[in-house]
Amino acid sequence: MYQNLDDISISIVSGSDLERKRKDIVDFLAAGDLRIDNQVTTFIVGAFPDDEHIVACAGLDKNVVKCVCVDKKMRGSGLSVRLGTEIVKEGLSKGYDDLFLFTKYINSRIFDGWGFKPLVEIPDVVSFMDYNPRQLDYYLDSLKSALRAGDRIGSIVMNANPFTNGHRYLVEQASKECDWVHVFLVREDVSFFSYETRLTLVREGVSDLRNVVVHEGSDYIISHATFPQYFLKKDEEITEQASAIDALMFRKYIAPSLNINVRYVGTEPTDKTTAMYNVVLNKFLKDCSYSDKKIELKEIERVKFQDTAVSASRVRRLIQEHRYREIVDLVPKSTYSYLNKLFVNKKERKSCHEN
Amino acid sequence: MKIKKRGIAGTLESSDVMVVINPHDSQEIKLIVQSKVEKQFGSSIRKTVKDTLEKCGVVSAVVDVRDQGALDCVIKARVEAAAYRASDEKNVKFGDLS
Repeated sequence: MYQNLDDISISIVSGSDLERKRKDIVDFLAAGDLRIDNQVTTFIVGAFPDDEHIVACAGLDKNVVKCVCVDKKMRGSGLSVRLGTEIVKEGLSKGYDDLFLFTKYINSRIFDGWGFKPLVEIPDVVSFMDYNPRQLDYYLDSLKSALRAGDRIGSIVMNANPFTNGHRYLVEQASKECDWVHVFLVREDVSFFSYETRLTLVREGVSDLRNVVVHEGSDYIISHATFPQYFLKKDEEITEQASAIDALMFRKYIAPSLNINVRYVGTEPTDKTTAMYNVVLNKFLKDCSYSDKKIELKEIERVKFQDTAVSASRVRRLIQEHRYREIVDLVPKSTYSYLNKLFVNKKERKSCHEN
Repeated sequence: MKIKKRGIAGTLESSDVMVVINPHDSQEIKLIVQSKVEKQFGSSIRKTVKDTLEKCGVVSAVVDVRDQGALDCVIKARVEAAAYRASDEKNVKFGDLS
């Protein structure tokens, strides 16, 4: 028999505490049919103080709430909202302006009580919710300042890690076919090249194309916030649903704010995740069951150099193998001159010292 | 009182209110209220929040209020606490404001 609800103490668990309690949390989540997400760095844990028996938990991976579970016997007791309060405070205290979560469609009502509202949903499957929708409004407002008129308004979302002739070719094709092209750079700073560097190289790489506008990315367009892990069992499902949410976010919010009606992507012959993403984009940008205006998806055949597709990963591999000279054929001048400064000169300076 | 950082007070529980006060780059109070009793008490909540901030001497802030049907005295207390936390004020005399 459980004790009084007020006896439950709620604590913040992270760092070495988390390592110590990890097994208990894993077991507790497993009992609720959930898996722990290893990206979670902080847990809010509700437990009885005497035996540390866990009755509720919620995790935070940056600004994404994950691994939320309340003991079946404690549901409807108000414990959930105490948990919600603490996780929201924790996220906001860390400086995040908006918090996100993925949940099964049927559970979205619970998070309504936490102040989360759905941004996009796949009915009967998944809801993608956030705490502070005004942040999305601010982002859309900033995009709208670059609104351009035209019949065919194109768009490309890229990570450009770094900007190559492949990206350049894709932008050029779109630029020829469209009145205006909006290029969005993935904001996430987890790539080999920093966000600032990638942005600079994209801007320089397209500066001669008069109908191309480069936009900064955000949490709302291809970001870690759009990857659910814990309630999805199969790997394929993870990618399909995550990219579906991303596609729906693009269709519902990003595209209408700039009157975008076509999105360009490069064909993907090798990477399975990206290939799947293209398929899902094609489906969800056009799916008739959503009322938002449809977006055409246009796949452009990848540009090749010596029979191999030009890609940023190929460039990064050459960098790692110190084969800098070979990069010159794969990237625009602006990117090459940056890489040259960064790697080749450094190497030469270094070898001077060694001599 | 100058708002130097984010200050949070309150909870999401019923009859309470969660107040988040942030620094603002212009000399005004930007107030955002979400309440389940918005229709009946929205303007009264706004007035209470604004009056309390004025008494605290806060002239520049972005204030986010998530109300779950809190009484006026609760709203006042939560706004005061959030403002003090946001200002890093050490000598807090709660209740002296009214």
